Amino acid sequence: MAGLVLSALGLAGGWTDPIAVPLGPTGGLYWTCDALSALFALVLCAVGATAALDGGPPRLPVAIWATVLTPFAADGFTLVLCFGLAAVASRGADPANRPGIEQAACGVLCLVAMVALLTPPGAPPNLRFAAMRTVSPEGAQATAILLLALLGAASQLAWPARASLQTEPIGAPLPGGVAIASLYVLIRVLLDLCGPAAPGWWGAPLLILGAGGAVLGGLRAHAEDDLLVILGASRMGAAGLTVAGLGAALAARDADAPALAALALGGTLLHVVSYALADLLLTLCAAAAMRGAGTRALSRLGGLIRSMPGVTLGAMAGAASLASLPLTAGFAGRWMMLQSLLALPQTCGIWQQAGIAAVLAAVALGTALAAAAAVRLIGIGFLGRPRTPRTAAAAEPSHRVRLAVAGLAGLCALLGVWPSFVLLLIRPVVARLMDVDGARRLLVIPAQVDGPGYAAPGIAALLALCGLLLAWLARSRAGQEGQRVPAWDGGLDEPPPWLPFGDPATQYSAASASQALLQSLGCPGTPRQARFQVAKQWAGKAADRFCRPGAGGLVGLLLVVVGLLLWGAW
Amino acid sequence: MGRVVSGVASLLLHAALMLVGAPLLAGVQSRVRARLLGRVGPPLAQPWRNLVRLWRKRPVLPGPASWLFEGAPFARLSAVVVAALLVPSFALGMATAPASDLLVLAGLLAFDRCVLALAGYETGTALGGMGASRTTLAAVWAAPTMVLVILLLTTLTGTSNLQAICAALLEVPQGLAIAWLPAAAALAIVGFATARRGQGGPPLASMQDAAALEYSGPALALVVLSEQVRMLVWISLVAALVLPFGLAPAGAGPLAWGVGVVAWVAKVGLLGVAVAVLDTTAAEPAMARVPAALGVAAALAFLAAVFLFASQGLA
Repeated sequence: MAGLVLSALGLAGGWTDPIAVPLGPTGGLYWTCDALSALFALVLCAVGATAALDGGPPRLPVAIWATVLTPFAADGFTLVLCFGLAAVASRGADPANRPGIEQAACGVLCLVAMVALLTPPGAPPNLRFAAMRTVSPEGAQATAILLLALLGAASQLAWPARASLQTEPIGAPLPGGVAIASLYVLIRVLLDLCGPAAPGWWGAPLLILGAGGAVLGGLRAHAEDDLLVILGASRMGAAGLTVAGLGAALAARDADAPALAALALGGTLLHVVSYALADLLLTLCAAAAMRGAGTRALSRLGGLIRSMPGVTLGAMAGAASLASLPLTAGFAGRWMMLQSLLALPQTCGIWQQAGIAAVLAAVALGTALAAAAAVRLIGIGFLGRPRTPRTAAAAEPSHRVRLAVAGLAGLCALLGVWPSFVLLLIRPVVARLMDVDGARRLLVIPAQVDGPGYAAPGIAALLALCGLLLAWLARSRAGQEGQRVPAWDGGLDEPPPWLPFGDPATQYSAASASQALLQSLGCPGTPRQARFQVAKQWAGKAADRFCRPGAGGLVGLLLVVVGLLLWGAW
Repeated sequence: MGRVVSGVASLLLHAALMLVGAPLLAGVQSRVRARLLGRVGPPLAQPWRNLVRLWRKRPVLPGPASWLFEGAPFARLSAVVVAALLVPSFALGMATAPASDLLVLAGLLAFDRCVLALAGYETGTALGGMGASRTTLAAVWAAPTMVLVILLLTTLTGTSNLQAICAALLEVPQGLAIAWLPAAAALAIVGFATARRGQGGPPLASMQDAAALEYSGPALALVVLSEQVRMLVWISLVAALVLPFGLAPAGAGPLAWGVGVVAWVAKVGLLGVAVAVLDTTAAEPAMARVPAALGVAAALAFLAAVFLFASQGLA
């Protein structure tokens, strides 16, 4: 697997002339590596290497290779082949993920139709990216392309299916990797292949859908019990933010504000990179918690900070980044995206301004919900008292896993304190997609070229100084040893001796931690809750329909794809 | 060079003022509360004496608490103090001016809330969990309002840097009362619904107190001090944005600083007393009402933003 990483890193060095491998129906599989490919390949290599850490069934390497190779594709056929293989194989490798395999197949079919729409007319069809860039989509064709690209990405990102809690996850990081790959496909199609010819109105639906996805994903992450489903839901929230960021970039470009578009796109890419790392770290910690403590249900975990200190520290680093707290990897990208949204109203009329204000409020709510979900994940899953005897006897994972956790946590911390370091990698991508050269500042991320901005190293230095001063003060206090006593617990009696970890019923549970927030959307017994339940059931049914379309749905979709292919050829 | 020296000097003076002033403000507020209830009230320096008394006590830790529980008060106070260093009190152009971004400030205050919630869960008690979940609830519903108010300020001044915003508000007379009224109301509701109440009152006087109930001794001193500094940060922020007059401009001399200090003390005293009066005369909103109140705040902030856009479109 080290070889895999090395080869991919070598590839990331970059070449722009596509290499053809004479295979397949369209004259060959073309491979290339531009700045965008290199950026995503780096991230996906990390995912692939982590997924390969503890082996697995024979289908796993196929999924890993397909995921890692997706960003290198240089023609439509290769792109869909790699992505489809990655999507289907990563679902197939893990029995727990099987319910999602039809959903993945639907998404791939959508992408096939999209590629057909993007192919320039003529025989034989030329599927290479260079040819696709000459097509300028308009009208119904543009609508169809946007819809199909979003559906293809959503098949990997939206509404994670609940799996049985009994099965052990295999290749747990892979769904996250495929999600990142689907974001890559989205960015490649919407910003590169459609390029400057992309219609300006694409910004609005992307902003609205993205903000909605961020709120829904955050809410679901706050309500679920299974660690992996929580991570899947927060993946949906993060993808929503990404889509909103792309919408902001497109809207700014449409309004002829290239610097703003570059800020939005840079923030989005930084968000994707930092999110991918945090998600990978948390997935690794969740899998370790499951192996160590025998469950991945929040309602049975607890107290891992004492039995698995290393994993808990790693999970906290990942969750802090997910919660986009300052000085974490997640904050810088979020900061840039929010800055671009804050400046966007200057470029448009009153109706759009009001819409952008609403989107901004929704994005803030989604971010806060993601933070709340991260706090609940750590607070219930890793802190407090163990909720079952099995959890109390949890053991740290193997050295390899601990090393991977430490490495990823270190990378997250580095990105948090010095985010401009990743912007060095992102700048060429932004320069190519938006035709702007971003600001070159090593220590500060500016909102405008010369203006002040987010000075992460400065804030970190101030925080460290304060913390050291306080620690010094505490140390210089008379050397009294701390005394341990039973928790006061509101005056409750000490637990009886046959309950060594206290009465489990007196500790806040996973459900009670999310209750206050969910109740605020509709308290039990009020008409509001009934409405919320109906809406939830309706949304769940629609999502289930998309997840499990059944044979009829698949055939229907196939017919639609064939129709679109015919339309494209005609 | 002179600018750097004056920036560092004003920052040091500002830090001292904030740290000394936060417990004093709490003292003034509890005195006002007591007077309104017909009592004499404690001396103004009582919060300081309480802090010193707590700091000298022997640390006591609840049963299973880990390093996170012990470290949380240090992390919280550090975050709140850094937030306090970013908010201008008497002068602009402090050494932290280039870093004083409003989103960073909001993030630091959110960090404080997250660590508080984690420490609440870490105690493994029902009350700790309840306080943590309620803290999260209030923080989540406050987020949209905060960002909408930042949108308002960014649209007005073209930047989200707090000190640059204050400088711009000082230069340009505020011809935006119509947009400011709902925005100030929204900020007031957020402060009222999320701030810790009843300092020095009985335990569980506030919905968020519960998360920090297991602290005692020196750790409790840090927790209390960080709540007091947080209150002062909020009040100084509102004072700098709504009543920016008296702020010494960047690079001003000691005379302007003196005027600034006097103006800051007057503004903070006025707003602090107003908060105490509101505290005593109005009941704390019931838990179930907090999201609704914060929803109203978000709607007001949205209204303010639309007003501002409309007035800019007309101009």
